[in-house]
Amino acid sequence: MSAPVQFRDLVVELGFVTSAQLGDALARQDELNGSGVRSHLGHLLEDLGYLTPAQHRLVLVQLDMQRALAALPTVRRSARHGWVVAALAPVALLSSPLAILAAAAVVLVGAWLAQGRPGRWLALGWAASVLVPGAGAATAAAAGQGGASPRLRESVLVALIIAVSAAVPLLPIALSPGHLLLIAALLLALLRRRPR
Amino acid sequence: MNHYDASFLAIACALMTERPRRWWLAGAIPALAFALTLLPLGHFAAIVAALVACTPPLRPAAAALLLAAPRYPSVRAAAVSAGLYLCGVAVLAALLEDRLDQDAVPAFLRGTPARLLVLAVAYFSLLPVAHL
Repeated sequence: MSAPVQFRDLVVELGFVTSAQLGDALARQDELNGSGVRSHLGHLLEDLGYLTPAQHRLVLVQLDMQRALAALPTVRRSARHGWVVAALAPVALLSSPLAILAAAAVVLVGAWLAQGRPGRWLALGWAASVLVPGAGAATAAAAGQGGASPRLRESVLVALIIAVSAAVPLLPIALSPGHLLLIAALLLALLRRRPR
Repeated sequence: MNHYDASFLAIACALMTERPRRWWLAGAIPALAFALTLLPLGHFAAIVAALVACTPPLRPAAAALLLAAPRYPSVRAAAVSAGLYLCGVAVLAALLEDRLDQDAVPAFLRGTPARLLVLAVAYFSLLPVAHL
């Protein structure tokens, strides 16, 4: 992936400041940084009278757009919290405790038999939905788990969350994905031990 | 789970798992799922949609399968679902993802929790529109 677009490059490219003016601002920024003051290049250029506030906003918008376009075709690498989705899906699809327990069983058996093979995950979910009436959740759990996080340790965690969700009498309103996303976000924030 | 819920779960899934290069192809799944319900397939319509969602270009297929799961009552519902998924992933991934990982965000919220919070807020904000 190419290097992200920098503010300093864009402001010159758009013709709002010259290279010499940019050099002035960068020198001033180094001075300030040396004395422990953090300053944004855009604000410095404004303070020095090289950039108007409107031009500053325009550069920031352009910067956002260019970064957005650059990021669109890329592949997201992080799968650290994929298990959250795998646990969320069957809870959102909650139909009956038996179906939810079937989902937990599929996740556990799949971690052993299917591992990283999505086809096998799908087959397991399919089999569960045939064996247990109304176990659409099992298929979703299997698919989510197969696509998200095939490792055994996380699969056990997902199965536990699903099983607990079948046992705990949740209020119907708490079953909307919005609430589940909120709960997941708060849980992850609370459980976080160290910043990334 | 209705199509609106499925769209948001699919966005969450796409944000937290590795996205295939052609992640946007999953946007066609709601239309396909709706088209399959028009055929005399009965319950097999959902199964066929799930199989299509597992095709290699869409792997890992979790987001596509979530989009294939609900029953779409109309072509409008399918279009809304596809639009939500495509816009949601594009906006959250391209515009907000980097910002939510930056130092300005408190450490305990940085990254995934912040993404989920944004998604949850978007869910509740757009919910009244979904009922129109």
